[in-house]
Amino acid sequence: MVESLNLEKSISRELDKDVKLMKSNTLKNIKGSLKTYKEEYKYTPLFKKTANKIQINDSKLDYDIEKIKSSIPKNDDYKIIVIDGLYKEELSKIPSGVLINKYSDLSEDMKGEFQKAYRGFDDSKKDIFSSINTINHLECLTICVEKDVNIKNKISIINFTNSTQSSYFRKSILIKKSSYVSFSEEFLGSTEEISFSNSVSEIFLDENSKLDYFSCQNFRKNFHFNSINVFQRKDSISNFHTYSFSGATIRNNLNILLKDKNCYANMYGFYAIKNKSHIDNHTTVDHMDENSISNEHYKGIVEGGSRGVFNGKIYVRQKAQKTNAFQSNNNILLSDNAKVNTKPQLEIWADDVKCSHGCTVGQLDEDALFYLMSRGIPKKEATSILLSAFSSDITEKIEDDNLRKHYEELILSELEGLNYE
Amino acid sequence: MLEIKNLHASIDDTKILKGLNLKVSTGEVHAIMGPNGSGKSTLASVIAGREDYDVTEGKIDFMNNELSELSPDERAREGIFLAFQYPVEIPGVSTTNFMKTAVNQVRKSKGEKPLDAVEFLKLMKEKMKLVNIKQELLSRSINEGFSGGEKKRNEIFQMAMLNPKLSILDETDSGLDIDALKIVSNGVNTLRSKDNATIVVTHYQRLLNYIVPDFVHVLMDGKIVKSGDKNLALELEEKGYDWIKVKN
Amino acid sequence: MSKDDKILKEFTSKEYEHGWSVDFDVDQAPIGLNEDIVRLISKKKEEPNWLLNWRLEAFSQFKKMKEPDWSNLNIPKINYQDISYYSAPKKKKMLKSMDEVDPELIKTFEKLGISLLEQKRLSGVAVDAVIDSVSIGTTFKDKLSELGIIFCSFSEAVKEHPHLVKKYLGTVVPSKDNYFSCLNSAVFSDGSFCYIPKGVRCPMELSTYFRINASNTGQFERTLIIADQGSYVSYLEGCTAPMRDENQLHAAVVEIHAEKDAEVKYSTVQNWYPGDKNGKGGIYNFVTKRGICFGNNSKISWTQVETGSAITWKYPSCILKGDNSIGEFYSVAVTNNYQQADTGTKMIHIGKNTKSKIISKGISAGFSQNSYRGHVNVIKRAKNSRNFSQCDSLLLGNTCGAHTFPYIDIENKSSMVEHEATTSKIGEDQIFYCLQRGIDEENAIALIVNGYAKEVLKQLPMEFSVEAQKLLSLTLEGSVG
Repeated sequence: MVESLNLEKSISRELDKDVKLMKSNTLKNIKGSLKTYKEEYKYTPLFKKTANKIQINDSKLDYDIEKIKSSIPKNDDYKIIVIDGLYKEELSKIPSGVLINKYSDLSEDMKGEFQKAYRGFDDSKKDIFSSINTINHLECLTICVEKDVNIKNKISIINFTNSTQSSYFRKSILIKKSSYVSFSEEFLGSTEEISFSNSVSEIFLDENSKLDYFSCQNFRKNFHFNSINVFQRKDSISNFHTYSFSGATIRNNLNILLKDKNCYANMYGFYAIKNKSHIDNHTTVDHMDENSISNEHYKGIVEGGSRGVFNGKIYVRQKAQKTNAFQSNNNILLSDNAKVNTKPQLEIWADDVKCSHGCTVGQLDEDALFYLMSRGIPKKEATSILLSAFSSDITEKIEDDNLRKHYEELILSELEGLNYE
Repeated sequence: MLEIKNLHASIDDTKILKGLNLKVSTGEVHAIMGPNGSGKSTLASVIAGREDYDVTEGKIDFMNNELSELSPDERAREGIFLAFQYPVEIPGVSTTNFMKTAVNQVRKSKGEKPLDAVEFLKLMKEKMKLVNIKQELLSRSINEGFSGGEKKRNEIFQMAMLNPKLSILDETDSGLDIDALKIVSNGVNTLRSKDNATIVVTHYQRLLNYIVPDFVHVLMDGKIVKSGDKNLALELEEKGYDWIKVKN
Repeated sequence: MSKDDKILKEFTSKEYEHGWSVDFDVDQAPIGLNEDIVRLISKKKEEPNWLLNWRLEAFSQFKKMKEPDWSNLNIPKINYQDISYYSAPKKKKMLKSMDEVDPELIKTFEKLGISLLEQKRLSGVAVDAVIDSVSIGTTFKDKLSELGIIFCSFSEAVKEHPHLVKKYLGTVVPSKDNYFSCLNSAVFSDGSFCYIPKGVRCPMELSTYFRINASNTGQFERTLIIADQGSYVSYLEGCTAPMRDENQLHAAVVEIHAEKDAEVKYSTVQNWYPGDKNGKGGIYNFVTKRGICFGNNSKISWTQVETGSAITWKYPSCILKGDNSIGEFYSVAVTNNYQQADTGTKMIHIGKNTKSKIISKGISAGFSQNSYRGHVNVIKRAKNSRNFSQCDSLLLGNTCGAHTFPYIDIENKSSMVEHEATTSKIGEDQIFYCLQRGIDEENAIALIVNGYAKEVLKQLPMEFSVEAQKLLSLTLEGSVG
């Protein structure tokens, strides 16, 4: 597979000496990431027709800028606009205290600061799609949230995938000491053709910082690979909210490294999929030091001929005594053609820990359904009420009222499109 | 029997006991009272040998032995029994099995033959009556799913089984309704003899209506600040702990 | 109760209890693995041609396969050419009865606490004793045959009941199922065979006792259990081996076939030599165990207590083919020192209304690694199926590891699957509570650990349960403090 990708070409066109070195090192090690491919992509193999799209485009990308402009929300919110992996400063609005640059435009000092966040943390190197992103991405967007900055309003990151082939998104986020920031990331597909989009984000949380990160995927026809790798220093807090809906093959990797003491990570996910959709959430939390807490809850509704995959790994290293790690995955299957594959995995090397995981696959509560129907509510609506109640465990974790309403509405409109047998 | 001299103890570098003195002789019942956080439960734990506590100064003599050298199980085999404020749950281990192990280990340390199944059952039946505890409860995992009253009765049942020289009841009355309190007290009173002694640690005077103490001590800020007979408890009930604070 | 107590008292400074070996005259194949060895084994067993061909086919397949590398185990390179694939106590002639068995052998088994002399047997347990690779005798045969139950060594079954062996051999675990089952199919030397006829409830526990005695040999036995319609059998398996510095290979295959309304309960107390404190020596236990609930309403229940072996690779599984069939898996796996275990189960739901239950309790101590690996698969046509899994891990000390890898694949909307897992350590509070009652630390831990594993231990027949509790305590001895 890899041989046919002609990855050398992407390396040869790279101008930055350091980046070029990073790319060629990644290529050298790519065989290593193939080793884990078989197990890690057991349920989400890359089909030939998408594999053909992995190569980056030779031709210059064309797009209808007016059409894109029209789909950017007309409000005063902070926003970062990226089209096929390229940052569009003229369309973006950035709060003070946040510095946004292309990596190639950074001063040498700043490059140094982003070194680690750009090159990725250990796990990203082992993943085949992250490796391909490292080699093929054209531009790395760097976002630096300065020290002691508290940005109350969320910053939207809107990524447009416009290419009918492949688009590569790459960004590094550095949140400095005692700062708080909230990002809401969206991917918008504008083509009716199957294309391949690949996004890798590396996030570095310095001491005592806090991050809220929302990502929402709502594609039509796309093989979307998304990897977020997080590195947390002591006393930092991260909250991830991942929402995925129908219409594509989506693979999310969320890897969190709790490097120091007293870190806190929350990971919430919801997926509602139908037709031939495929959603695969792979998460890893690695507890490296004492007294950290991780808390993970993913829920999904799987309908039609779709498939929902969940794989959650928790590692608790020998040094990470007094760790609390919780994980759960609940699924509702609404069709006999739908499938759920779930693998909640624990690997523990420390004894003074509290870890638990659980998962369920089942149906709607028939009794509850009957109860609602006996009060005169039609089956379809009754089902919809119960399903949105099922999702409320996840949506209620969103503190921002407007954002929560936004996601609740998205879920509701998605549920209305489902067929209940 | 028990003599505590100038005892200082701390947990995680926080000093809790700050020079406590107490002398208990056979046949006596001592009540230790005091407001929350005065160190009552710490005293009970330190006598039983809980390792979370550091004894920084002073000593505890029990039957002319220095206790600090002994591990908790050795102390128990010497005859010290602690009725826990919050009895621990051990899934899958029945009280019967637990007691059988304990009774026979205690016997072994005294050079006595272990009880066989029949003898053990006989002993158990006899002691069960004392606290009105059912066989069914004893075949369940220790304290798992027990009500508050059942847990405390189970503690007194174990005390009866092990027949200790010194019993320390740590807030045994907390969370008990009046009926349960009567049953528990009745058990304790029946076990009282001229050869053993009891320390009752409590926050409320109520218990002392049922287990009548020979001595009452008030523990405040890690020290015994006042001692007297059972009337001291009544006085405390009426005037509150502030009364002593003011006096001091 | 008195037995419980005995166990706790015997909890002295014993190490591996069964670590002795006995010298008796053995007939051992030359070291190495090739087609000639396969032929030699078959010839020694005086096997029919079809079985030889079956072995040869497995062997040719084996040569094309690779050792599995997906487990969470660190398996040193095994030189398959450095093992003798056949070792049997020499027999002068066919034995007519148990009385003719070599007295040395009878003593060996008595040392293990198993008497082969029927009059000495205390309770109703029929035993098939397998030493190194060969069955040396089966007790209570006559009594069982009155009921039509066949319980004998595998080689005897090949001779006496070839139609049954031919019909069922390799149907549940095909020879090429995996690397080790394939090796076993080529070189297996003996094992146990059991057939329970229609409607018969086997009145006693059937038991196989495995013992590896000779050095440089591997043990490759096969067990085949067939429960015909409406029958019931409870089957026990025990194993020990001498203490040797080298690692020895044990690659067994167990197949269970349950017809309509039949029930099979299979219990194992696995106590192969685990190696010494520094991880030297010990058995590599690579075993394939699988049962098929072939008929409607059938049930297969696996219970295992795994305390031995340097490395354990074992996943007793159920294929729930019949409608309303039930599969169960109860497991306690203890690892200490440098032991490694990767064990669990597979529940494959094919029939409608099928149910499965998994209770797994892992205990890790020392420098050991203990993994649970499970697969619950409910296919599209297995409507209204249910699975419940509970996997708990207990860690003693912070130099060991506990790992959980559950795979759950569900393909219809009317089934329910629940999986729960926890990892914890023995509470300090629990230990202090025991200490305060005069119980010393080792006994306190034994008590708590046995309580933790109770749900599984209570599945075992009484005698085995006692042995298992004793083993748990012995295995964990000295691991705390």
